[in-house]
Amino acid sequence: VSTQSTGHEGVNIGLEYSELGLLSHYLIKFLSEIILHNIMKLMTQADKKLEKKNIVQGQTLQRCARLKTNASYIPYSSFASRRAFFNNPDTGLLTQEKPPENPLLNGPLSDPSVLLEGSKRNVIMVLPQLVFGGFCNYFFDGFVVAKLPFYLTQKWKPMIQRSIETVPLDTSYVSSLSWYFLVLFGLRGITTLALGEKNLADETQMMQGQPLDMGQPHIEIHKVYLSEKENLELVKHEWALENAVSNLLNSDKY
Amino acid sequence: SDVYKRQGINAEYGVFTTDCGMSSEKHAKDLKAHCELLQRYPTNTNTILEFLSYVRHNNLRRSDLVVKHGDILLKQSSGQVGDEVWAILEQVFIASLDTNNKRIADECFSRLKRQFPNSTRVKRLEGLKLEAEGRYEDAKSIYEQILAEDAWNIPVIKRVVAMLKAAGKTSQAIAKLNEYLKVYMGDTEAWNELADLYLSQQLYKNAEFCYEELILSNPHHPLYHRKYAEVLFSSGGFENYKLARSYFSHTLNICNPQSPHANRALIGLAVTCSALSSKGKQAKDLKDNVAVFDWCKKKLLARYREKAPDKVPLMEKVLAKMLDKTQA
Repeated sequence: VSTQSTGHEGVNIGLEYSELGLLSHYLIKFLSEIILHNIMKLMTQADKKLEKKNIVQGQTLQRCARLKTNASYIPYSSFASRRAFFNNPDTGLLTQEKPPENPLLNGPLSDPSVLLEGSKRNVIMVLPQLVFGGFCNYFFDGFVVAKLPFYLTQKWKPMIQRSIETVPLDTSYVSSLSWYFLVLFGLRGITTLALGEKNLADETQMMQGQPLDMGQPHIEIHKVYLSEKENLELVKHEWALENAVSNLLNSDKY
Repeated sequence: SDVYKRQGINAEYGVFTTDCGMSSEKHAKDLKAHCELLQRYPTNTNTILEFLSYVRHNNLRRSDLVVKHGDILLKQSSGQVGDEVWAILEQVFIASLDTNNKRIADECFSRLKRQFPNSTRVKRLEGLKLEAEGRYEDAKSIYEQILAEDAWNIPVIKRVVAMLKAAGKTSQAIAKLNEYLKVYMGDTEAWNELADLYLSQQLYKNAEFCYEELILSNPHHPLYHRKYAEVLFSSGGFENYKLARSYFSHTLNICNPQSPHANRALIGLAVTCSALSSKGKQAKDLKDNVAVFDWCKKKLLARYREKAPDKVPLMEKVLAKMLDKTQA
């Protein structure tokens, strides 16, 4: 079908062939989403090996939080010794971390393995986009591909009718590029049905802006520790069991 | 089945109550329903599958039933099982080691090994198998192999500790467990185990620390308060007795009166009161000690009259002896 002809007739005749082409594009995109999803799954499993240091840090913070919340259930002496265990200026758990010497060195750029993972991920996501965009443009060049049920203004014409030369064509007739975007966004629903979970290779999520998805390294742990230490100092210990015996005798429970 | 008679259970499909009463209270009702279904339809694939998955997900220990029905299920080779069959094989394998059923253990293990020849998880099961056969040195070398590749493989570390404990090397087990807890500080199961190990060595102060850690992790569980009180009582001393009294009372305040904690805490409270009173001059500061003891005595005798009336005279004698000390 060439859009150089008058218009409607040409569109009607060629619709069967172009339908096939469109369907194949749809299918290929769908299958590639599934394949990419599985590839991403394999890749992210490799990231799950946390270093011992990160585990200890996380656990220490959790333990601190538990101590803060539930301090009133243990006797004062035990609480005091635990607080000293965390806050002791020489040997306390929270005072061991020193601030880094070179603040620039600390952060996502310093960790080469993490950086590599991030860029690998980006490449894997971007590459199929480029490939499909090119594929789409090449095969469907100059064709009217679909008719949208709504009108857009004339200003949108250069974008949605990229390769079509006739001027007076309605803006509801779109070319391949807009079909490409339609498929991109439309497939999300079907892939969630098929894969049953968050699609790891979902490019639309990437577009929504996840710039620094590089894990934890640039959380400055010594600052967190310092704030935890101060919080611990501020805890006021009131033993919850002060009146346990009298409460028991006065209750109707037994 | 005379094991069951000894434990006072009438039927093989009865529900056990264990000492700590933690999981069995919660699961007793559901487990009972599953067991009744199993009794009625012992070879139904669906019933067995549901029972096995319930036991697996809630970490219960009914190895006898698991082996019996798991064996039936595995012989059926029904298509209904699907991918779950590997988890079930692992479950039945461990249960058969528990019930000393070598044939089923070997069958399950060979199937797992054939399917996953290079898996760390299956290697750990191999270690378990060697332990069950008594070949501790071979099991130890397998675990060391696994730990050489992955130093923080939690199930294997726990297995090593369990082996040391079974071999009687308690101090080594304690050391290993401490090493583990320095990294994974939030593991309540490990803190529980460490407390038990310390108690077996009568290191009361260290056991107290463990129970404090447990109280911090879950302050609304009566078990931890009760055990903490019991350790305080065992340590002895005026301050500890006072603390123990408060913790026993707190246990009674927060526990369900029908639970096993209540009885034990009542008895603990009574004994602590009598111990306090025997401390002489300091005890005179606690004017309410006698009142607390009387209250305990009343409640205990009421419970015994209701549940075990033939033991009431014995209980009265014991309490009377304690009462003598209290009033001295």
